[in-house]
Amino acid sequence: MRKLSFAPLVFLCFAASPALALSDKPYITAADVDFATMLPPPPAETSPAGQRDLQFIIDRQKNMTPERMAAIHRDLDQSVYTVAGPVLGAKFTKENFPMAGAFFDKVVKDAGVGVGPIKQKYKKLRPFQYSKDVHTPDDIAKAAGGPTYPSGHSTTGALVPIILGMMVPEKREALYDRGWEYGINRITSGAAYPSDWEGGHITAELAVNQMLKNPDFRADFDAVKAEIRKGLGMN
Amino acid sequence: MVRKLFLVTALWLVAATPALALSGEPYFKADQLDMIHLLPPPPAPGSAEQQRDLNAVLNVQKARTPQAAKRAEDDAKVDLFAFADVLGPKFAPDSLPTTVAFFRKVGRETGGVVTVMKDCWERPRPFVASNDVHPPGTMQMENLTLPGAKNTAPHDAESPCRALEPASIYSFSYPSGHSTFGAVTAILLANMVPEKRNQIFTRGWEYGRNRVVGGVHYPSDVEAGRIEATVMVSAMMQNPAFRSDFAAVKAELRRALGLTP
Repeated sequence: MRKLSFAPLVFLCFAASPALALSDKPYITAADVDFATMLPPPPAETSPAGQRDLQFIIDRQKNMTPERMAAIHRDLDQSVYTVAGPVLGAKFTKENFPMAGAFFDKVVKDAGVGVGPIKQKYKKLRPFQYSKDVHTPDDIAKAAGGPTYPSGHSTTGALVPIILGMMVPEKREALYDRGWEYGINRITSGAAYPSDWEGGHITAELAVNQMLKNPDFRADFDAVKAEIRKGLGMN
Repeated sequence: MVRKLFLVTALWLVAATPALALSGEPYFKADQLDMIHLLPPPPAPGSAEQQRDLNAVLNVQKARTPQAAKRAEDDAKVDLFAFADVLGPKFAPDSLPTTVAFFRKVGRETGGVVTVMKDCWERPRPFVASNDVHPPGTMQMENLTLPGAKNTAPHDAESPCRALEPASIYSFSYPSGHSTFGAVTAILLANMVPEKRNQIFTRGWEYGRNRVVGGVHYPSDVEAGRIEATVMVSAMMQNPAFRSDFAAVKAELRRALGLTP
């Protein structure tokens, strides 16, 4: 009897502050995956691979348009609404899907164990810091905290489609296309190399593979999946 | 003195034994990783991304020198000892029986996953998609499949794999098996010989790139191979049987290369 009367109360709390329902423990810790030994070292700037890396940015910047620059600025934001919005539609906002935003913020933050320490390990300069031929808008340069490899934005651009693609398989391929574009926008801004994108993508895959083994992650994943599918009118 | 003698005997025994026995268990189990759900799908036929991928192959082909073509043809062989480029002439099969057996086992298990992934996405090779792509030497025909080969991937409604196509005479493009091999081998060797970490990774990554040079793969195939390789090695590293074999191989390798244990 007591259990019965308690249940609606719990449910009410859940509905009123959904974001608070997420696990307060990290989905992955530095002890789970040895990112430092798994990730390839970034190519030296003067090596053939490093030169190809730089040339890719210079070529992309040659074809810069105002529309592309606007997209680059929009994609500075790393929330799931910005990354997945173009695929899931205008309804996919923080107001309508509060738990999704908190969940992906946490995923990105926790996957940081595979980003920050690696950046510090190699301390590689950003493309715009290394070459005068790379032109990065001041605000983007200023906001680019820390060394370039691996790219945090590219990690986010991969984490979102991998995980959202499991929640909304109907849109999986479109989500990956969008995640790819998100990473390319970062490269085109001159704040990351293609090899940083690759490093970020590897980090994301390793992180998700590990997170999927964590019951707390799976429970939150299921709750967020339910929120998203219900909100998008999918069953 | 007795102890020393014993050590010498033990060493002699190791040297005379063709290879230490590796674990009979698989290095990873299928439920340890769900590659089909982790790996991005390749660009769809007719998409802008597919066009970009093909253009990249054509641009690399245009810039291909005879030396680069030769190097790509050499790397078409899946050969652990290609890494002698960076590990030196002491990295040779005769003194490394356990190492050879270990990498063969790793190759068999990871290769099985690659085949399923290829059969999942059924992406045609660049030289199939475009008549302008011309692999050098025998690189194209090396990708012919055996007659009667069956598709190994799930294509039911639950699976994200693309709809089942009629069999192709060439194996599929995405992800690149050679790129996977180069990356798996590089990650493992680099963790056994960290002194040469950078050179080993550069060589392993070149393995993948040479597939684009040869026109038998797209850049995205090579990229996916590297990602897949990293996830698979990460999964294997969590397996005690693998770790114990890894330690034995590392010891054999470092001894053969004349490095400190």
